[in-house]
Amino acid sequence: MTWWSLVLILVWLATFVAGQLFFKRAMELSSVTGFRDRKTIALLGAGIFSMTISFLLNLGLLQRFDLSYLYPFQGLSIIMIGLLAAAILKEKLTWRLTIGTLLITAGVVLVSMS
Amino acid sequence: MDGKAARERRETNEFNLLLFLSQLWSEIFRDVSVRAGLAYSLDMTNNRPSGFANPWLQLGLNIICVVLYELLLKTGAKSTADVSRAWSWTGITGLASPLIWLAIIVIILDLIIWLYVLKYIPLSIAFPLSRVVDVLVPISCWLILKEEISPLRWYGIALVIIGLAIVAKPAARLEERL
Repeated sequence: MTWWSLVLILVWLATFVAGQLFFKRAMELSSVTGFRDRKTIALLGAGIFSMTISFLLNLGLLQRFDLSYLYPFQGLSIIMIGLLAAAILKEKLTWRLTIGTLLITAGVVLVSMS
Repeated sequence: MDGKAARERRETNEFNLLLFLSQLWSEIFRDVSVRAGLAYSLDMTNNRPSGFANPWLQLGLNIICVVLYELLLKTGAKSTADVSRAWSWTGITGLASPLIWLAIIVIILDLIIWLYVLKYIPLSIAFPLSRVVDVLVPISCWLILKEEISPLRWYGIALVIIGLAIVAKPAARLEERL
């Protein structure tokens, strides 16, 4: 793996995680303000934009690497989303949820290593 | 005065496309569930849709869509890897494959379902649960395609399932609160 591939993988993950956070924030806001609200539309747009970039980068990476090689990196996104949902969206991160999330991540890494 | 009132009325009457789509989605499934004679009711006390509009069931549909489009993407991407070396890193060459376009349709459908799920379930619970696909893909390969699963892979699958069970517990508590 070259440094360029590593950059692509990191950008792919970052845009994916950012997209999820944008979506959740938009849907939270929509239940208060409805979909006509400018901020809700902007957040949805930002989410769709980062997901599109993430999607294209994922395609590019799939052309170069095996799906099984890329999957452990996707496992990282579970941890990243858990932490960022707690930090940015103020979701309650219980010990139980943390342990469960870590086990799922470890399992995903094992599955893709085998 | 009248103009402003009329505009406000028009604005409240206007439907945003996304609101329309997400409502259409739940309406379709409510309709289907009524026709199928399944238990369906909208619980007015906590305003959480049940039956086919149940967010947990929609999370299940989301998972089916993800498994489907992952397989379509891998097949499509592999067949177009050599179209243009100069552009292949952007992934744009993948668009030459009809399978990729089919996958894009599934992804859009999945996005609408996922937005609907996020409306009701916290991201830190919904996202780890949605990773059940990491278990479903190898297991469906084993069951349907008769592929071998190594012991290490079984351990990984077991870990994911234990993790899911642990995450599902706060989800069940959340359900009581909703």
